[in-house]
Amino acid sequence: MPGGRILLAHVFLAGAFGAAILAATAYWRDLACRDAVSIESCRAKTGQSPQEQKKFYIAAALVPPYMNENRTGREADIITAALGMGDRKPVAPERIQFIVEPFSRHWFSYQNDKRFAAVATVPGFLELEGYKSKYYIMYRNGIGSFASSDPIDLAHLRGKRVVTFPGASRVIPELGSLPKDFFALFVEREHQRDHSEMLIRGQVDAVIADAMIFAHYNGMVLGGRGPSPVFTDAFAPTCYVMVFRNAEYRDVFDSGLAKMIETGQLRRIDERYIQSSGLGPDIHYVGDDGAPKCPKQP
Amino acid sequence: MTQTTPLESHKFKFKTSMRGVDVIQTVYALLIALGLRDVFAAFYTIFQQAPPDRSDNFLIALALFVNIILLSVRFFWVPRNFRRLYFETTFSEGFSGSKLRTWESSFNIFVILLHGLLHFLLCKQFEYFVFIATTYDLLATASFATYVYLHASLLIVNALWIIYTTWREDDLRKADAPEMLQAKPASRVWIRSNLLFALIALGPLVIFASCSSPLGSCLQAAYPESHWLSALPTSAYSIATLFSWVEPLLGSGHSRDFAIAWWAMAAFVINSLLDLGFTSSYYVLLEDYEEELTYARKV
Repeated sequence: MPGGRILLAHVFLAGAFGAAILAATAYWRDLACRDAVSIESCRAKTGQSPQEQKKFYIAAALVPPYMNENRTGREADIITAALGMGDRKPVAPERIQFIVEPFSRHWFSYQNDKRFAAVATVPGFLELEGYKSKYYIMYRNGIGSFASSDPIDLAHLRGKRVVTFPGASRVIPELGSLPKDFFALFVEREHQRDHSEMLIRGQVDAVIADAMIFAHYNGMVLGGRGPSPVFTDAFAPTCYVMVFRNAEYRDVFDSGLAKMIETGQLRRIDERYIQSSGLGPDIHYVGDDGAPKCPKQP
Repeated sequence: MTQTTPLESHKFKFKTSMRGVDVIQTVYALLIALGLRDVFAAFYTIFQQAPPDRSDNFLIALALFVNIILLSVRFFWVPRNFRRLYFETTFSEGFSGSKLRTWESSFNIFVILLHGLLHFLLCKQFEYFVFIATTYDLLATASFATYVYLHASLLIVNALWIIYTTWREDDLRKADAPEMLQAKPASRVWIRSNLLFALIALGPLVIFASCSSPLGSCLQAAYPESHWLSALPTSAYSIATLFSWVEPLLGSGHSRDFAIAWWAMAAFVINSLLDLGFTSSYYVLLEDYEEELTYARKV
């Protein structure tokens, strides 16, 4: 029956045409919201709020236990909670998608890939395209060793063998000002599991790192066997901000973070990770009364 | 008006040529160009920075740019090794098709694409280095080390592949082959130069990367257990010892990382210049093969 076939062909063509239009509209909406300066301008362009849009991609650095390969961790919890608690239009947790990459690669990806709505773990002085949030996380830099159960400071490390993270000699000003022969060995290694392994094998006398990262890898390497190294909080903390492409998302995050500090939710998240890392209760982070000061807000 | 010609007057020509290799060469060149596009875009970022914020990183980025351009000029011609191998093995069969096994052709095409991939990664690493060097100086050393490892990997992969193609050429070449085919190709220069300079560039990096202490201490951190192989002149230990002697000349007033960067760049640039200086004619003069069979229908 040729008439029936022609009708079917028309229906099929109309369907294909409709699907093409829908796809083009969705793509255009995506483009419009990606470059939109504000939530209002996005809604004005597309007729939809960003909440109704697709995933909210965040470039994040792989730094366990702050951010694990499986996109969980202390930073993931803080960011998700802050964006969800923000004023006006919070971002639903199911929309947030962390893309985890090696530290510093995540800045590069954010800068070059416009699909990323935000980037986490950015030092305050680093200039990336977008809007900086308030400090939301701090790394507590100190010295880990088996040397003594008493707290030790930098002077104790004279003539010792030390391993630390790349750039430590410039991130921690006290290290940069030391004479070249202060340490018997000074190595900057990227993979922080190596730090714990080198310390446990006796290749170095001390590790200079963040308390929680150090405790995390010690737990992995030791697996509960033998004594744990002692950590001394010896240096100023390193504080980090988020950078958002859209100023209003930045405001959503900042207002959510302020609420978290006010209600004690931030401390509760911190405490969960402090306990699981085996750190003492005397360690404090952003928003705590006992926390050290971050540099002046950029 | 249509003219009708009797079928019997037609002659049919069948051609067998090596133009299939040209297709591979074109695909490969496209991959190289993709990487180079990023290199030029990243270089524009450095170019915009006048005066540069951090002169050390600026100089290293310039050296990397020169280095990657020289490397790209050389590596545009990687598929010519396959062309020569295919040509020789075709001739050895008396112009009746290549003696190469099917899987061997596939393998060679895969290796050519692997060269393209490594080159592309190298270009992306250059772009990343420029980004880090111009935004967050602290991590420039780590990204530079990755660049050197990638470059050395490319040279080593290339050398190993040329060893294989040269061995196959020697294996399949006929004893009575013409003089052109009997001539030793430039491959021997490429193999030796690539392996030697990759080793020289890597040696200090393996021992000293991010270690600012004397050789003995850094060595202990890199290799906790000593091994008799370290006594070999080609060992990382021997090369690092040589580097520690010349280090004061390379980086006086600068960090050790700066000296390592110049050492590695010097090794790679000399490698490229030797190649381009002594063997560039091989890139232009390509062997070709074309066979034509004419078939006339019998009346």
